[in-house]
Amino acid sequence: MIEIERLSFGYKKKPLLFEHLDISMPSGNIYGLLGKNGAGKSTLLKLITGLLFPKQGKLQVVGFQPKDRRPQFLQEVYLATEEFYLPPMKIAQFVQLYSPFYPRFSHAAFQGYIEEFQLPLKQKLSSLSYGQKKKFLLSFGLATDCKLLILDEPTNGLDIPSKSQFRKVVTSAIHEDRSFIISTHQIRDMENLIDPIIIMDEGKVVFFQDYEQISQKLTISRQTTLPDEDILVYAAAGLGGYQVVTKNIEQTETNLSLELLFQAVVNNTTKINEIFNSL
Amino acid sequence: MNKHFHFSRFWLLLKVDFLKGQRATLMTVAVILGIMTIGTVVEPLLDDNKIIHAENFAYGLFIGGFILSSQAFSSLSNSLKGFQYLTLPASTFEKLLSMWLLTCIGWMVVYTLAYWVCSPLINLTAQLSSSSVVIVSFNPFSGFVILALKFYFVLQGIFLVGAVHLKGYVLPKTLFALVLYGILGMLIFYLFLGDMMNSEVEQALADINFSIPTLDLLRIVLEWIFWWFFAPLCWIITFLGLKEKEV
Repeated sequence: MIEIERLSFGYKKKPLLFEHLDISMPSGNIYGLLGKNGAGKSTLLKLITGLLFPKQGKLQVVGFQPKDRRPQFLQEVYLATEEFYLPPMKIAQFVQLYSPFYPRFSHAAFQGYIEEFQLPLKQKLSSLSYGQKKKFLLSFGLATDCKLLILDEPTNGLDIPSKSQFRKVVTSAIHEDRSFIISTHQIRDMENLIDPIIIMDEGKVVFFQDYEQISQKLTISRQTTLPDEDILVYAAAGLGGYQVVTKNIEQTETNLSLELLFQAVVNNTTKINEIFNSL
Repeated sequence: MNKHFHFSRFWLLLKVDFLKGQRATLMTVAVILGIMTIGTVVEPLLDDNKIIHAENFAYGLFIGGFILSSQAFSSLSNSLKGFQYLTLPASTFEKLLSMWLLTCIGWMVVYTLAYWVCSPLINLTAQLSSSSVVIVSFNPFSGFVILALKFYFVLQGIFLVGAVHLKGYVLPKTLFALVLYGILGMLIFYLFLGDMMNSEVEQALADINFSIPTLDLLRIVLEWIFWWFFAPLCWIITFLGLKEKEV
């Protein structure tokens, strides 16, 4: 689906953001792309969609070089950004105009998503609320049945019921020929949805693991005292104890907290690498 | 499916671009023709009590057309609109062709038709304001009108180049760039060829009969370049700019 080899990229008059970046993302997954502000998430997404061009290296997405922006590539990649512009037209008119660009666009699926999100078909897009616009974009993107759907902060601006609906529709729309990349800071909204998890820091992929691997290697628990330093990866002080991320030495099952995992990776990348690189 | 051009895909894009640009086109036509209709009240007083439609037509054609052409890729000046435009599944060639058809051919057809339809109204307004006014009626197939359309066809490309390469305030920036390049061109001409026109060289050239046929040949070559090369060159530069555009 996505093959990145030794990719380098930097903005004009600035040092390189990515240097020899390597990522391989097979299809059939909902990838969670996490990282602090300025880690390079949005830039990576723009490179994948062909909105920015790499300086060096190989970048192949659904069998195409994004830089060429061939129609056959653009049909297979849909990007729903955090901030967006929607033309002043009704939902039905937008769908009538833009859906034919996507050969596998499913009107039935779109109708289903619209009903799920309770969006008014006859209202102008420009008069919808931010959350409604977001739900519309998501519905359209899912209905295109494109091979790669990229969602940048998809749950920002969604109310609590909509967040559950979001999880429901995203889960129902994934299939083995399709991948989603969800870039977000709202990691609690993504728990049990994204797998594998990619964490970026300062232009590098510092973590790329699936749930199975993570639960095999790490344990996340609440403890009253800090565990031994040789197994401790990260600890956050809380009421009456600590929330800790430790090495899973007893092969116990754990409930994964993305927030703690993220903190552990960003604050103790060396130890995380040691644990995941050990046999 | 052809990666550069596919008719049904192009047709879809043309529909989208037409819908996005129709309001601006209609407003431009309405404003220009409105100004001309009102202008007929004062024009006879300023211009020997005469209204020459072909000239008025040419002014409107150039001003309106250049404004619209400068707005052709306005989406690219806004990053939110820009990424949507660039990720719309159509080839760069189709995107350029669609905009060119709308802002060049489309504008020429719409404006000529609108002017032809409105010219009787302009005539009526002029006759009501001054009974002695002389009107040179509008003939869309007259030599002057055809020549104006040909000039527009060629020069419009410059504004497409500006629309892709410049960000915001495209029309004034393009005009400024044109003036700048014009001055630069004249300066280079003066510095390098000015000396050649000096007395000694001029005399030498006169001796080798650098005469009217040679100058005519130069003029013919320049005209040929203008009519046949200038517009395609602008389209190629626009295409490359669009292809290399990043958001």
